[in-house]
Amino acid sequence: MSTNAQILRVFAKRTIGFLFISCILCSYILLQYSQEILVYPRFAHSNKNRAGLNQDTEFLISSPCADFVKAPKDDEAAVVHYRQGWKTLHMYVGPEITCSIDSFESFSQVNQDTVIHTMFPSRGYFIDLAANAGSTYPTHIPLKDTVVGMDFA
Amino acid sequence: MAAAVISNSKDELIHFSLGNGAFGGIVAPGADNSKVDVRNAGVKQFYTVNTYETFKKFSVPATIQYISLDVEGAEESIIESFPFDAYTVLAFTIERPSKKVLEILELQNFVEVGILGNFGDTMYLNKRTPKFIEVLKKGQIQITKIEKKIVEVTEEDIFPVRNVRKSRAQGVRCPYHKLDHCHKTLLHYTATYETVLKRLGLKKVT
Repeated sequence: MSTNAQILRVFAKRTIGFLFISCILCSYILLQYSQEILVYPRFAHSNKNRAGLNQDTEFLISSPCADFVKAPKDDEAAVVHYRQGWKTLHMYVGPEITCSIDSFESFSQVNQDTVIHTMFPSRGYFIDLAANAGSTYPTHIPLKDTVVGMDFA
Repeated sequence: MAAAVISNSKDELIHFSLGNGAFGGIVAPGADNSKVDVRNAGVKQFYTVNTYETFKKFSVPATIQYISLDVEGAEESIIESFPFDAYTVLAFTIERPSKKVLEILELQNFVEVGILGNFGDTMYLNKRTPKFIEVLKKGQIQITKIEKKIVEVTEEDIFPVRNVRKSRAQGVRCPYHKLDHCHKTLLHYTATYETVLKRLGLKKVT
């Protein structure tokens, strides 16, 4: 009886140990995979933020958070993905930090909308007077989310 | 969205280049498209409309937070006839504003927030804006982040940036903490870096 109890106790200990190690291993594997994801460049429709090859150093998505969204130029797999319309991103997953231009996605030629969004964060009225087809070359699309406005083209 | 050719004169028949993508605009002397051949397929004729009547038609409110003016050389024509008596504009961005445009903005109590990029896209803020200094400071901090590519901005960072290729100054040329030196006159976007520093009472930036 006591022998059986000892066997059961040892079995239970080993099972718990095995489960514990498995959990740690699974978490580690999940963490590794979660850091490497494939993302279609969501800024592809914007000229300014179009993903492209920077021949000098590396290729990257030219987003306001470009420092945290980039891949080394010798990453052949990433280059292949890029040519197929996909791109591997090395995503920052560390402690919370401040992105240089917050999280506002700019569509303006030189970030005018980012500055205006900072100055007038609540609702307002804006007018985009441009000399082109406004629907084809809009300057301030994101402001429409926070500001009521109209385009004259 | 409204398709209209706004000008300082009403019902004037003008040529407008539509076939030039983002660089379309009025074909007239002084405009960016002045050399476009009006016989081109992409050039159409339109009658101009008046800013005030257009704003009335679309029920534009009396206070407009922001106007972006990028009309390829016709900026002066629009600003000259802008109904400042009926509408209060808090902020403008104007691409390559002429001296005439600057004179009008000075009269309307605008202060320069800064220049973004290399094409002379200049932002102005109306002194009548509620919490004027606070809003100006926010805008200039953001411009400094963009132009100097830095994350944390201190008061010392909010100064002009030298455009090495063109010897001009861009970024914040009239910092909120130096307003006494520069709020009365608006500088042309081509002003040299040295001219901008001299106006701020500085000989060189450390």
